Amino acid sequence: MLRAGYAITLDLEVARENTNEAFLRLWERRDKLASHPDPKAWLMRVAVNLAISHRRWMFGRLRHHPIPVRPDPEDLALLRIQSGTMREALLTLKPRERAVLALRYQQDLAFAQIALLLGCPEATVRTWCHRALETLRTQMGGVQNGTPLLEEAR
Amino acid sequence: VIREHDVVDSLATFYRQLDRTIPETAPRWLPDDRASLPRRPWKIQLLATGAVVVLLVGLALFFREASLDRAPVPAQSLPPLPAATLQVGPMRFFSASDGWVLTPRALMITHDGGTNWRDITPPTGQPGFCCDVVFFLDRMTGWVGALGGTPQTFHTVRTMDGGATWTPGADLALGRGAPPGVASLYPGPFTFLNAQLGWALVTNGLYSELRQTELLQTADGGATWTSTGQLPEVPFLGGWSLTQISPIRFIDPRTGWYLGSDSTDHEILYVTHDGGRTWAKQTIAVPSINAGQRSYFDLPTFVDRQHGFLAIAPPDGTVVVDVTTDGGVTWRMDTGRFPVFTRTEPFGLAHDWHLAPAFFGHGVQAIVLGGHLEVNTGHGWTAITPTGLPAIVQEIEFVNAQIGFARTTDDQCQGCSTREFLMKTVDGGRTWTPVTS
Repeated sequence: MLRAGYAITLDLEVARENTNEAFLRLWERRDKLASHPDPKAWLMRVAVNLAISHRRWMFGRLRHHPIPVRPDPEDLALLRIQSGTMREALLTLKPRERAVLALRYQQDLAFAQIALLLGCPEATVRTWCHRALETLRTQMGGVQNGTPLLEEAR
Repeated sequence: VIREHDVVDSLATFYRQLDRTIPETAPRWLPDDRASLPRRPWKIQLLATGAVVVLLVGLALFFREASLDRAPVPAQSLPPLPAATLQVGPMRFFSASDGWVLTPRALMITHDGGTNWRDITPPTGQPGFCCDVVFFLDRMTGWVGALGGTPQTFHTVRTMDGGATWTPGADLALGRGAPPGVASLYPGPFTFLNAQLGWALVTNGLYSELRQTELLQTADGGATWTSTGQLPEVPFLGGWSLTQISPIRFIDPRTGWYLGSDSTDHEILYVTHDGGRTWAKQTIAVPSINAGQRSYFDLPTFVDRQHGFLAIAPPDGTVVVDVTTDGGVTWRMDTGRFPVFTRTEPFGLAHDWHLAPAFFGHGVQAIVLGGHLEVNTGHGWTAITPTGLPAIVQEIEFVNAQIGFARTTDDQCQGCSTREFLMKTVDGGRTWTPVTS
C-alpha cells in the first residue's frame, strides 16, 4: 500500500502520511467494516483515493511534518529518483492517471481490478492508461539525443 | 522511435527503483498521531476559517469575471439534463423507430424512436451486469457476448426475435490458449454479414509482450467458431476498449478491413480478400502535406458493395474523407470539400487525439466535435451549430436526413466520463434533446 501510494504521489513522506491516514480511517470504522466483504480492498481504495487527492493534505503535512534532509545513502538514492526525468514526466500527468499507471505496472493489477478500486468503468481506466502512456511517450520522444528517460534516475 | 512498450518498460524499471526504497514491512501505523497534534485556540481557528472563506469568495468572483472574456464552450452553457436521461454505452439505430442501446446495467431496445424502452438483457449469469459486446444485424437478430467465470470465459448468446428469447452459443477462447503468465482475455466485437456468417475478435492482452489477437469465424450463427488465424499486430484502440469500438468489418464473405497498430504504434489499415486468412496493408490517400505522418482513421463504411467512405484525421487537426467506388480496391480523397472538418481547441489533436466521430449511411454523411457539426445529405456539406448538443460526442448516427441520434458526455474529457447520454434530433442535427428512459 505504501509502495502504491509512493508511486502515485512520488513523495515518500506524503505516501507514509496517506498510509497512516488510511489505517486510521480503518480503525475509526472498524465496527462497520467488521462485516465488510473485503476490508483489504476498502483499505487500498482509501489509500489510493488519498494519494490521488493528496494536495488536500499538503498543508497539514508541511505544518506538522517538515521534510527531513539527512545526507545518508538512502536519502541520496531517494533524491536521485525524485530528481529523475521519469518522475518529472509523471508529475505532468493527472493524479488519477498516475494512479492507473502505478496500479497497472507497479501493482500488476488487471484493468478490471483497477476499475473496481477506483469505482469507474474499465473502459475509462483503459482510456486514462493509454492517454498517460501517450503523454509519457511524447515526453520521452522529446529527450534529446535519445537519452534514456531513466538515466538520471539510475 | 519510442514505442508504447518502451514507456512501459521504463515505468516498470522506475517503479522497481521506487520499491527498493521501501522495505518489505508493514506500514507504520500510529493512530495516536492525530490525537496528539497540538490544537490551536478556537479564536484563531475561527479567524483563519473566516479569512479562508473571504479568500475563496474573492477568487471565485475573480475567475467568474475572467471567464466571461473567453469564448464559451458549448457544453458549459447547456441546461441540466433531465433526471431520467438515458445513460448509454454503445448504440445502434436501424430506422427512425428501431434501435438498441447498452446502458451500464442493461441492454435496451426501442420500437418507437426512443420514447419507450424494453429491457432485453440476456441471462449472462452475472447479477447487475449485462454485456461486454453487442451486435444486431437487424431489429430481430442479434448476438451478445459477456466475459465471466474462473478461468475467464467469453460466453455468447443469440436472439432471433428481438431479445424476447436467447439461445446460448459457443464460448469463445484463444485457439492456442493463453500463454503462461497471461491470464487476461479481452472480448472483441462481433460482426455478422447475415444470420449465419460472422466473425469475432479475441485477444489476451493489449500491452503484454505475449499478447495474441485471433480472428474467429462462425458459419452457423455462433453455435460453433473456428479460428482463421492470428491477426497482424494488435488492434488499434486509441484509448478505447474493444467493447467500445470495432476494429474489424467485412462487406462480403471474403473482403474485410482490420484496424491494427504496427510496431511503432501507428494505425495501420489492413484488408483481406480471403475471409480473414491473410491480410495486407490497405493503401489510402492522405493530403501530401501529411504524407508519412501519423494519422488517425476509422474503419471504412460502405453504403453498398462498391461505394465506401473513410474518415481520416491527419496530425494538423483536420478531417478529410477518402472515398472508393470499386469496393475498396482504390481510395481517393473527396475533394468536394477539403478538408471536410477542422478541429478547434480545446478539441484539437494537441489535447485530444481521438478522431472526430463520423457517420456515413442512410443518405447522410456527418462529422461532429466541439459543438461543430458538418452534415452532407447529398446536396453538399453544410456547417451546423447544433443547439442542445454537448461539445463531446462519442458516437453519432442518422437514420435519415432529419432524424439522428448521438451518444454524448457532459464531461470535457472525451472518453473520461461515466455519464454518457443519448440525444436525438428530428431536424437534421440543428436541435438535440435528451432521450429519457
